[in-house]
Amino acid sequence: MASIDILTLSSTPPRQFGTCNMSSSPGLPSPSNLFMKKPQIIRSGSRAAPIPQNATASFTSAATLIQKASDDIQGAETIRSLTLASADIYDIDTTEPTKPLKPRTKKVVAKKDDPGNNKVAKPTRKPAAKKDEGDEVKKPRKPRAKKSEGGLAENGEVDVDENGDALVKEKAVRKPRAKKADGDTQAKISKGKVIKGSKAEVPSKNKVKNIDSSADSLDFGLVEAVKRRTAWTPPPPTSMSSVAPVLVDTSGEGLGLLESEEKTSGFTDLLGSFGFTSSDAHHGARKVSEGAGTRKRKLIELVNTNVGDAAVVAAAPKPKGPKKKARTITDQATSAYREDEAEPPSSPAPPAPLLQYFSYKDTVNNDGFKVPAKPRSKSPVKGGLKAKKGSAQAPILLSPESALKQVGNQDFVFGTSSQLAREESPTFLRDLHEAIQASNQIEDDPFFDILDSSSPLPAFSSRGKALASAKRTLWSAGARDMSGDLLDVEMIDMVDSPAVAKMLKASATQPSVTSLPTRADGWLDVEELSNSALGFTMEQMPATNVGPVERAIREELLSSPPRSSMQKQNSPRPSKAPKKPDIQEPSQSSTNPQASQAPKRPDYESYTTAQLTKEIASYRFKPVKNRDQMVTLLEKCWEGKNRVALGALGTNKNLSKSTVNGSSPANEPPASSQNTFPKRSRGRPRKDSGASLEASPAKPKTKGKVGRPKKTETVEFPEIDSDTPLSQIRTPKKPLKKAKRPVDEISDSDTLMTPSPPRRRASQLGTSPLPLRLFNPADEEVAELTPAELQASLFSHITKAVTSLPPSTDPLKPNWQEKILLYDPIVLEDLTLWLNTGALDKVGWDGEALAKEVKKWCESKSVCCLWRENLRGGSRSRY
Amino acid sequence: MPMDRPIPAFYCCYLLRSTVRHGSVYVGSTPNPVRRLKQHNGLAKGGAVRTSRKTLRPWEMTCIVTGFPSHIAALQFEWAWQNPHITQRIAPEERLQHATQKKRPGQPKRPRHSVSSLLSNLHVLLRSPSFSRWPLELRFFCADVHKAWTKWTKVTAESIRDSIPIIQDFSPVNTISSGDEGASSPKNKKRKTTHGIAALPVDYTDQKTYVEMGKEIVEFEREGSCTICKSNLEHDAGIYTICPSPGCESVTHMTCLSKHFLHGDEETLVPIKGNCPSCNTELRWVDVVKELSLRMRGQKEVEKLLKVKRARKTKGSASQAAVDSSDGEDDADEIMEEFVPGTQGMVADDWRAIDDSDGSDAESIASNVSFAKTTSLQASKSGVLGTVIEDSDWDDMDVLN
Repeated sequence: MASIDILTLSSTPPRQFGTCNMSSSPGLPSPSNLFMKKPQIIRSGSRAAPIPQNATASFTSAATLIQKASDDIQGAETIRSLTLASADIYDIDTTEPTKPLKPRTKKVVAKKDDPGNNKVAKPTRKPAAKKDEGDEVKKPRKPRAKKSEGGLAENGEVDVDENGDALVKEKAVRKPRAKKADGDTQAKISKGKVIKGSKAEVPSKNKVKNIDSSADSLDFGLVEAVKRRTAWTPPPPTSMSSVAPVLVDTSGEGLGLLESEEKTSGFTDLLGSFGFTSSDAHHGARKVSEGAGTRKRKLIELVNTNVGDAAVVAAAPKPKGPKKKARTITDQATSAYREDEAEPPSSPAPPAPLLQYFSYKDTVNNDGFKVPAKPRSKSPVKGGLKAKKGSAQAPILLSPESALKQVGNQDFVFGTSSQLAREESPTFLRDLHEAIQASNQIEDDPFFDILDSSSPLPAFSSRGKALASAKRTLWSAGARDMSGDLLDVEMIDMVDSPAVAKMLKASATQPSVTSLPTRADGWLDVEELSNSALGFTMEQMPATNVGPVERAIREELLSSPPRSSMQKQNSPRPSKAPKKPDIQEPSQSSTNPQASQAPKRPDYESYTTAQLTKEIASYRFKPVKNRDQMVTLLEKCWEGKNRVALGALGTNKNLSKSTVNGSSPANEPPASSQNTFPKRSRGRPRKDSGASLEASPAKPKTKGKVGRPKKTETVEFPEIDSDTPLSQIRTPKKPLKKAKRPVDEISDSDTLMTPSPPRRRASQLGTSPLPLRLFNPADEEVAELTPAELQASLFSHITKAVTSLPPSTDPLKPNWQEKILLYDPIVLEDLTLWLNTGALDKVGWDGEALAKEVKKWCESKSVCCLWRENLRGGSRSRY
Repeated sequence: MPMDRPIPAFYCCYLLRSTVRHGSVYVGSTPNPVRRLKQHNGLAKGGAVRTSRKTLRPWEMTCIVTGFPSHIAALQFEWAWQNPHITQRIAPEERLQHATQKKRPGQPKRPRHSVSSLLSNLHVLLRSPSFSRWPLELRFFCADVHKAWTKWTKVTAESIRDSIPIIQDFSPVNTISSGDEGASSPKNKKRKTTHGIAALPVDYTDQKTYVEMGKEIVEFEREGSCTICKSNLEHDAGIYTICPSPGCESVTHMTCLSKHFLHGDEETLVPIKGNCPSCNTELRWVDVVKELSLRMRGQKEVEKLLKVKRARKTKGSASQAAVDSSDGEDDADEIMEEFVPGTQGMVADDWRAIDDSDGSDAESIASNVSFAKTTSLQASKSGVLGTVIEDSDWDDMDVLN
């Protein structure tokens, strides 16, 4: 903790300042501005329209994004830090008199305002150290309390500094958030604010409880204080919940502040309290924006906060933030399944996850944020928590992509209830669907080509794609053996060999040829990725977290441009943001993705041959003899992976890059982060979507077009239109398909087009023709005679077989000839059976006679014959 | 499932025609044409729905195909005759009628039949390999139908198997009836009807002497050796055929006899007829086999047949014996036949009365007579042939009187 905190201190201040200035704060430094903000909140509470204006004024796209991210992260961090700090404080308190602690804690619990006063009184350091921030930053009560405690003890001081910094930063972040959030919330839903108040209360309680628990463990005297706090807690929230009481409190606080110390500090406290509430409100607002009813959410949020806190207490303080984020993201997709109360707090803010994601990048890359390491560690922890919850409770929350994949695997049948209620086995419909899909896939969709051609990408690419699609199936079939595996890797390499690839690139038509091998590669990659992804999701939570984070980023990125142009439209974000950004971004980011990917690709040529073989083996390819081929193959594989990870979300990526550039020097770091976690996570979703194949750098650009991907995807997966993330996910797929234009990429795209079916086709095609050919020659040998002649010879043999029998010795058991002579009706099945069980062999007929043929023989001999089984399925028992 | 029944004494497929409207025809099969015709005419239960319309009654059997070796064979032939448009017994190139319409379930709709179409299809069926070697006989009861048949046979290039007997069994024009009939009782009269379906041998009476002979040979184990292969014929150790000709008593393996009959034709399985290797009498294969089947599988039938004999002896009335023998086939028939004499008497009385009142009204007479089962055919014929029938009826009445 300490080390992390220190790091954060170094990096955070500049960012915060920058962000604050950039986003909303420029007007804030003066108390008047602060007051202005408060009214905004009030307005929001009153559902007044003006809020959007503030939001617009305050937000610039990049800055806002960064701020949000930082805010979210900081918020999470603050909570953790608070808990930790509280624990520390308690320790200190134990050494020191217990009295001071109790009141402080009470204050904190009671209301933000009260704690704010206390904090203001002692923690002057913070404001002094960071007055600029302090203006903006309204510190939660707890941090202040910590500071005060820290002031008492040296250790505490050190902690306080760290904590305080963290708190200040966090607070600062929070304020902007709150403001932004308020703006968002206002635009989206007015009620959100009210919810916020309630939420704020709950969290405070939770924190107190946590503290208590920690205190209990540490010292007994503290426990009592905690109890008192708990007793106290209820009233403050009520005051907080209503906007009016807050104002009153603020006024009271202001008086107190005046008495005790500077007005500014008092204002800051007031603001801080507001900010805290606002942050809470922000979550609520975001939840609202997500689309759930406000009322319900309130309740849920309350419960959730408790649960989340409990979870935090149980596991670790840090995880809270990330958990919240991840949950929030998943919430959108899994809103119907919200059972986990802990999630709601995180769920409320989709943007928050986005911000977190950025923060991750930033932290990783720049160290700009205070606790880079924490989020990482936290994210996995969260995953674990989630998994536990999932196992314990009914639903396991999956990352949106994994969920999508499951949806894809899960066959949905749409129809009327009567249709669905049929008794047909579930497999019947599935098989039917598969058969239909297979048949459809065999014939490439003519629309794919059309779509591709319509895409803004270069015309040659579209043409090549069409050709590729047309030939795809045959090539794929030819390249596969019976089991669906690649027949010969070398063949593929031949096609893919760099020289050839160049040639192909030059000409648009050739891509089709290359498509096969690339496709195969893509498939293999997909499998691997899927497996790995699954493993991650199941075992390691980070993967799941990443998925949501990515989504959040996408949303953020998408939404950011509109913001810049439109200034804020909070509510529309999810819906509008994705589409607009897609269109705009693709053009912008065309070059970026390539650059980002290029550095990532390992230099396979520098590998030893053994390493290369190992790598190839990792891709499940059969060993390749030629080193060059190995290199090219690996490169393709790598591309495929990257595309899966990055390419699918190409638009998002582009956006993220642009945003990163604008906000902070995070270009490189995100790339590195992507290489590790993000890629895999991305890969999963793509796999899910079926577009997991290789995505070349150029592809992301093309991906920008939303319409195409949806169409292609819709075939494979039932999509939920309402959720923006899904639509975004769809978009990535499209780009992949479009990406075909670059030769290598084209092949990848092809694979994307036909995810699983091609294999089947290949196997089917390979198997079916062979047996037929084999059989035909054999038949021909036998059937040199014309059918009529064959039949004649068969008949003569049958006649011979029947007439060559010795007379029967039992009158009751006449042989076949005697039966016929007696005009007995001949049962064809019996006669056929008899003929085929040796009678024909004895007369030199090598083969069997069909009952049909026997019947014809009987009729040709005027022998009365009949089937044992009649048309109704019954069998004749007597004649 | 071994065959457990002897070759039936009688089974026929018949072409039924409405005496009122000659365009209405019906194809059916029955082991007892008299009973069946009563059903069609509504005199007994169980008539076919197609023949239930009163305006079309009475029906007449214009021609019948007899000699089916099993009821299954008869039913198969009936179906093929009823459905000449879809039966596989008719080769595609031979098919005369084709389905032009389809029924709702997709089955080809049966084309509308007429006497001529059915006769032509009958011709085709009798030519077809499926039925060509069956021991069938063709019997015509209506001259016009027979005329149409002969006309058709002349038109068609191919002919049916020569050995198929085509019997013209028209109502005797004052011919046989008067000469043969010496008895005055109505029973004798019925018995004496030597034409029409009433005269058909629907039981094994014709086989009686044959059966008795065969039974005797077997019971006393006098099989001896096969006349053909000269091998010893162990009792009850094989299927042996016995020459029906009196005094021949040659016993052979059935397979030996068939080979003998076939004269080395290996492609043919079932002979149609041949000469007894011993007495050189021409034998129909079906007769030989029928007796054999009775011996092997028809203990009940044989008992009835022989029992009837005894009954006859006791009663001393040949006619009665004949009636009893028919009883075995069907009780209903028996009842019917017993009742027939009475009805005939009634009819005769009515007819006489009519005759007395109106003098001579052929129409009324014909209609009246048609109700009597035995004379129904004649009546219908009379309708067709006009005056000639009148005479016959008159003759009958005279005889009755």
